[in-house]
Order: sequence, then structure tokens, then C-alpha cells
Amino acid sequence: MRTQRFARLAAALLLIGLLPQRALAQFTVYTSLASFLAATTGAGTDTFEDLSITTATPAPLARTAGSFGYTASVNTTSFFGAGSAADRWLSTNTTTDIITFNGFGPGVRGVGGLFFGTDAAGAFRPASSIVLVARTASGMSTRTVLDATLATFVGFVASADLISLTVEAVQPLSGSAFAWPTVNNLVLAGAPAMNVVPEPATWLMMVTGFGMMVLVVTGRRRKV
Amino acid sequence: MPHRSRSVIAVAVLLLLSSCARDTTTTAPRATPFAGAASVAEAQANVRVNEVESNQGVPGDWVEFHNAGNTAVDLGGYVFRDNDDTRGYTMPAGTVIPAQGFLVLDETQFGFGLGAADAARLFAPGGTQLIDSHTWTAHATLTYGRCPDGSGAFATTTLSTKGATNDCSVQLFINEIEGSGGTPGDWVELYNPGDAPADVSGYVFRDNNDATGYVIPAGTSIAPKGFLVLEEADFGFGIGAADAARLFRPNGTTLVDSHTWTVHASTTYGRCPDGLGGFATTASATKGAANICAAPSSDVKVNEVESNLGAPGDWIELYNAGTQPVDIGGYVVRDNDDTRGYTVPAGTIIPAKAYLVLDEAVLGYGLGAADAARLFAAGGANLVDSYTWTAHASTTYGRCPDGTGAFGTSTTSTKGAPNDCGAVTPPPPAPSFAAWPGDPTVVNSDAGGLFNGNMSGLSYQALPGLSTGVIWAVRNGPGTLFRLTFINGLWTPAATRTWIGGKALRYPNGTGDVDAEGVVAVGNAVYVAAERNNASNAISRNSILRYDVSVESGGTLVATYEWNITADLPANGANLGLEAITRVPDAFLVSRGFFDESKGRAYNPADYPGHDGALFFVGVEATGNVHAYALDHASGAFTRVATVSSGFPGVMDLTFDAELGQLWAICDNTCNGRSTVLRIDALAGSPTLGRFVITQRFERPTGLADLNNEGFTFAPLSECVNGRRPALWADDGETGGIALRRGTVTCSAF
Repeated sequence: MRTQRFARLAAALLLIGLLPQRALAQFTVYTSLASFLAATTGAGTDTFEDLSITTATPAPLARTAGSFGYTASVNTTSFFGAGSAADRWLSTNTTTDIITFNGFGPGVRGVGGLFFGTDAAGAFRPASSIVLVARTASGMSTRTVLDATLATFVGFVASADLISLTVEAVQPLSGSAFAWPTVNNLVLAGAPAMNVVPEPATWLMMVTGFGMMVLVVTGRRRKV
Repeated sequence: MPHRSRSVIAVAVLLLLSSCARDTTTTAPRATPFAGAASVAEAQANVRVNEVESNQGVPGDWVEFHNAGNTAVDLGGYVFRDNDDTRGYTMPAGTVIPAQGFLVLDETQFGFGLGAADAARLFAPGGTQLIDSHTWTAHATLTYGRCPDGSGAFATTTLSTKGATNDCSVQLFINEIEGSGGTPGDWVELYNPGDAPADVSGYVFRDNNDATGYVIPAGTSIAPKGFLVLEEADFGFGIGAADAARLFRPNGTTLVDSHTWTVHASTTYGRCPDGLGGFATTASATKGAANICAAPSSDVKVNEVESNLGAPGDWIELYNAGTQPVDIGGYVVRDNDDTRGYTVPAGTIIPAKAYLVLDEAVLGYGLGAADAARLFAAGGANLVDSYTWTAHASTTYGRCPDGTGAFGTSTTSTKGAPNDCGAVTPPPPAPSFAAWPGDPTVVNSDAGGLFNGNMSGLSYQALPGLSTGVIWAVRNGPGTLFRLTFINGLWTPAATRTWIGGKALRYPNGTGDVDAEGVVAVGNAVYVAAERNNASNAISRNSILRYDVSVESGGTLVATYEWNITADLPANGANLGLEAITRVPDAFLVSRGFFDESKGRAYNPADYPGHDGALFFVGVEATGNVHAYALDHASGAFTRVATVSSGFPGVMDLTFDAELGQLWAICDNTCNGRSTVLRIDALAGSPTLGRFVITQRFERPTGLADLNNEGFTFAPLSECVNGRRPALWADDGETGGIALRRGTVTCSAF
């Protein structure tokens, strides 16, 4: 009897604890562009091929990725066009600047791209670490990419509309071989399709919630 | 063939021929861009840099070329450079020097100024093959010129001859004058300071009468460092009590040297030292020999000083405490600025126990809040007496008793009369300086060897979204703006890709080398305080310049505005001008009841349209004074709204702490690296109500060496940790390879 009461109490507390989280947006992080695209709809890509790679570009920038508009800004006054004429990237002029993508408008649930570091000349800088933070109105998700390469894809898919993504480079502890945060092929996408297979974490939450409900109902029947 | 078809064919042939003709033109040799240009050999043989004006020419600097040949030379495509290989002026096609003629290029044509240490170089087309050049290390008194034209060596000229044959006459001085009681009569002594004999044939000597003159006979010369005496019997007229001695070139109109007096000297009037010195009454006549300068009198003292609001201005009173009259002709009176001084006219005598007042209008300069009155013997080298102060007296500073006593603050001003010793109060105690309000420890904060010295001004700018902002730093030579980012304990210029190495600062016309001494940033605008153009470094050009750093401009930044306030400031040496700048917002000034000295009432921003919501406070090295200016960003006009003393004889940087309402003034190693903090006096009834007054004085941190720290800034309160925030000093001398040193300063208001 005492054990049953304890179990019901625990179940009730768990439910109470879960209830507020239901109001928070849920994030799923993808490291494969294909998985990201499969989990979203209407994806559009900004390749940044129009940027100058010989000088700085004043910030902020009003841009589009497919049918989605967005704004790219930095803490100071300018971006820097990194990469080469064959493949141009969006980067900062100052190492410590943080790139912020926002102004997505309604309906943007997915944001991703290739994130890595560049050097003073705008060339790829190996072994850079990049910190990504995606935000909705009710939550955020952080992902740190270690040893980012030119092919390092990271995508966030949220259960609510996204409001921003920030990109910051971690600076070396010594020396002057700084890392400038850099983005290529930014992807914005809409809400997941209805037949999307839930991520493992979503499955786990659903099963846990269902189990708790069963436990509560069972306890009530025994009491009667 | 139909007639129409033939016509079509003819037109086609003509077009083909026309096309061929154009092709022929475009394949002309690139090394000769102008068809009429002279061959390099021709130019090498006959064209020379012939005369150079690098300072205060009309309308600016200029260079003159001479063609020694007998045919005209076309210099189209030839390149003129100073000592900077990165720039040059390519002469347009058709630029011709006539045979035996001259060609002048003005600064307005070649687009850059010539410096005190610079060069004038002529290159063949292409800009690499040197034809001729002249290099110098200091501005000439007049110009540098070849003597004779084209073939002679360069020397300092005695007459600027822009576009004409150089004047190769020698430098001569009137060196000593006997106007009363000479043997056998009056006489005048000439002096040749040169190292070669000076031919003075045909030179004309006159007194103050233009109608008469004595022509020195042909064949007359003066030995190197030698003297020539002209006797009254030679020139045929006597020299009067109020008269002049004047020497003219053989043309009879070009004045070489002169001296004018109003009374006879007790001995003679002579230059001291020979040639270069000013005129004074000599100890004894030395006819035909080196002058003997009179020993300065120890009886003459600086006796009373008015440095603020005197009538009609500042003044210095001298007093002869001896029992004999003293001739102080040739004595030099200076404030704390060695670059200027007033030379007392020859024949000026102070009777025994008498006073001589020198008014500001006579001295030619004003006295500052922290300044000095110094009396030098004739020649200006040997100090006779002086008094130094650090703040204006409420009345005057005076000796008590006259001539022998110590200086104190007078209760009443006694200009030209005995000091009121009954009312003289003791001098104010020397101000005390508290320990630095921050950590005593200071650490190096740049990677070393980055800036090559001359770092002068600093300004912290917070950035939204970042925990640490950027620091703007200016180097005074070459004038450069740096954007520094804080990474791993060091402030580095290498963290912003388009700012690595900084950006060279230019004046609004795109030229010059801005001697940037102070900096303050607001938004995308960076304001720089500069004291001169390094390309003309003997000339004061106290300016506030505005730069837009949001627009990428490569390695050079051109000012969008310049407010040249030189004429509004007391005259100062070219290297003793603006050193500091900061910006104080209107909202703060109005909220504290800031007093507008130009209007005589409380400051009202509406009085100054276009001033961008703030006043700019600038600091002057020569005086230690801080001046507040309203800068009109539309018209370029400016108004001096207030002046306040920093409490130092010189101020090196200013930083306004907008969060705590405090104005910091920093002095360098001339004041042991001390600082003062000024706040607006809000005490009702205070005589300084609404003015900035010094409320705190601080020593430098004990861990900071007494260096030539000309820059200082600190972080906002958002960076406070345990009540202290980062502070940064800039060392102009880059001692030990380090220009930037970091410590902390309190986050509390005083």
C-alpha cells in the first residue's frame, strides 16, 4: 500500500515536471544535410556566392534562402567575404564578432549549414571550434563543433518557429592564429512533414509519458 | 558591278584600313607613354632638381627643375616623388622646360607635401630610373637651391627664387653698431658666418634714411667667420640716437639684415652670439672682433605675475632690485614654452628700484593656469630668474618683499608698483596625490614590437552583444589608426582582417600625414586630435578630424571633416599642441548645469546647431588646459564653449567616464604619470558653479613605470569584477617593445 502511494506520488510529480516542458520548443540537431532535409519542408539555401572576397561587406545584410528571407548581422560594422571566387563564404571581419541570423519570419522551423573557421586571409583554418546557438521564443539549443571541416553540417529543427541562430568561433589560447567564424550554404526550412519519423529522444519522451499515464490510471483502479 | 555594290565595298575597305590604323596606335611602346617625351639620356644630361621649398611656400610646397641645355625638354611622363616610393606625380604630356629655363611643380599639382626630412626626386617615365634628386633632413630657412643653377651643389638659399635663377649671394649679418662716441666716429660691423669668403662688392649700407646709402666698393670681401667694419668716414653720415643700420643686396632694394633702436647704447649694440643671436647692449665695444656679451644682471627679477583676467590681459612685472640702472636689451622672456619668447628691445633700461611691466600684447603669448614666467639673459640661453605655478592665482603671484622675497598670492594686484607685502598670503600648498584607485599591478598587454613606437591616444568602445569591446588607438607618426581586439590577455590589431597593420590617416583632401595624438569613438565615427601635419611638421595645425570607420577604405582613411582650431588657441609649438580628445554628451552637461563661457550662461545645446549632441574636450600639451568645443558638422564651424585647467603643465589624454560623470586628465612622465579627475561643480553659490573642477588627484599605479604614457582609457562598468575594471595605458616610447600596458581602475565614483 505504502509502495503504491509512493509510486502514484512519483508519477504525479513526474507529470507535473513534464507539463511545463511541453510548452518549451523541442530541438533536434542533425549532422547530415540529407536527414535535415528529410525532416523539413521547403528548404532553401543561401550559397553567399554574391559576396565580395576582396574586402569587407557592411553589416547587416538582408538576404534570402529559397523562399525565406532573413537578416545576417555582426556585433561590429562589417562582414568579410572569405573563401575563393569559386566558393564564397560568409565570415566576420573581426575574430570575436558573433554572426547572428534572424528575422526569419513565421514558419521557419529548420536552420543549418556548413560551419567552420577561417584565417586572416579568409582561407579555411583547420582545427577550429565553432559554437552554434539556435533559439525559439521559448528555448534554445547549443551545439559546439570541434575540429570543424569544410563539410561539417549542423542543422537545427525546432518544434516552434526559430528566431535566431548565432555562430561564434572559439579563439586559440595563445598566439595570433585567430579563427574567424564562417558559414557556407546556409539552409532555412519549414515545419516538418506530418509523416516524419520522430527522433529517438521524441520516442523516449512519448513512451515515458505514456507509461506514467498508465501508472496513474492503474493506481486509481486499485483504489476503487 | 552595280554602282551601289562598289560603294559598299569601298566603305568596307575604308573601315578595314581604319581598324588597322587603330591597331597600329595601340601597339606603341608602353615605356614611352607620351609621344613627345624627352629621351632619358637627354634629361639625364640637362635636367636637374634645382630648388625646393618644403615649408610655408606660396601657395604651398614646390619643386623647381632647371634645363641647362640649349633645347627645350619635354618631361611628359616623367615622375616626381618625395621620399615615399608608394606615391608620385606623373607629369602630363606636353610638360616642357624651355632651354636654359625652369619648371615649377606646386604642391597642388603633385598632391603631397614635402616634409622636414624628405627628398625631391625626378624619375624617367615608368618611375624607376632616377634622373636627379636632393635629400634634406630639416626645412631650409628659405629654400634649398643649387648654386649656380643646375650644376652647383645644393645649399640653403638666402632668397627664394621660384621659377627663376637661384640667388647665390652669401649670408651676411650686421653684427655690431657704434652710434655714439666711437673712434674715430660711428661705425658698423658686418659678419660672415660662412665657411667661404663672402664677396660684398656692391652691397648697400643705409641708416634709416632711404635717400642716402653707401655702396661697398668692388673687390671687397669678408673672410670666413670674419668681420668687416664700415667707418662713418666711409659711408659719409652719422648714426643717430634713434636710428637704424640696414644692409641691402647690390640691387639696393633687397634687405639682407637690419637693426633699429631708439636710444644710444651705453657701449654698442651687438648680436650675442655673433651673427645668430639677438641684439643687446654689449659689455664693451669689440670693433672688428667677436662680440663680448654683457653678463646678465642678477639684480633683475621676475617680481609679479598676472596669468588670468588681467587688464588688458596677462602680464609679467620685472623689478630691478639693484642700485644701478640695468640695460636688459636682448633679454628674453618666456613662459613654459621653450619654442617662443619675447626679446626685449635693445636699449631697454630698468632704473634702480624700478619696475617694467610686459603686457600680453607685448609678449605675444598668454600665460596659462599651469605655467611659468622665465627671464633669460641676452641670447636666450642663460636663465636669470623664473617663477612657476600650477594654478591661476586669485589675484596675482608676487614676491614679498620686492625682488628678494618668496612668491605668494597677492591680495591685491600691484601692476608696475611695489607689491603689497602686508597682504601677501603664503603660496598654496602643493597639491597631494592619492594612491592609484585600482590594482597596483600593471602587465604588458600587447605581443611586443607591433607598432614601432609613437602610440599616443586610446579610446575604449563597447560593442553590443560582446563582453569585451574594441580599443581605438592612434599613432602620431606615421599617423595611423589601429583597431584593437582583446584576445587571451592581449590587445591586438591582428584580429580584424581589414585593420591588420592599422590605417594611415589623411586630411580631407586625401593628403598629409596626420600627427594623431588623441582619439575618441562614437558609433561609426572616430574623432582624432592632431597637432600638425607630419609632412609640414614645423607648422602648428591643431585639428579635430572625423573619420568614418564603417566604410572600408583599404589601408588609408581620409577624414570626412576637419575643424582646424589653431587660430582659436594660444600660440604653441608645432609639437606642443593638441594631445587629447574626449566626447561629453549634451544630456550629461545639461543635467549638471554646465556653464557656457562663450554665452555667459548655462549651456544650451540649441545654441549650437549641427554639433552632434555632444561637446568635444581637447587637451593642449603646451598649457595643460582643456578646451570644450561645439563642432558644427554641417558648416565646419566651431565654438569654444569653455576652458579649464587639467592641473598639469601638459595634458596627454582625456577620457570621459559617461557612466560616473567624471573627466579624467592624464599627464605623462613630465608629471610622473599622474592623473586628475574633474567633475562639474554643482555647489550653489560656488564661484566655479557649472565648471569642471579638479576633485581628485592620483599617482600612477606603483607597478607602472614612469614612461611616456600618452594614452589612457578604461572599460565600462559592465566589465567590473570585484569593483574594478580594466584600464589601459599607451607608451609613446614603446619601452622594451611594449606599447600597451594593462591594469585596473575602480568602478566607484569619487
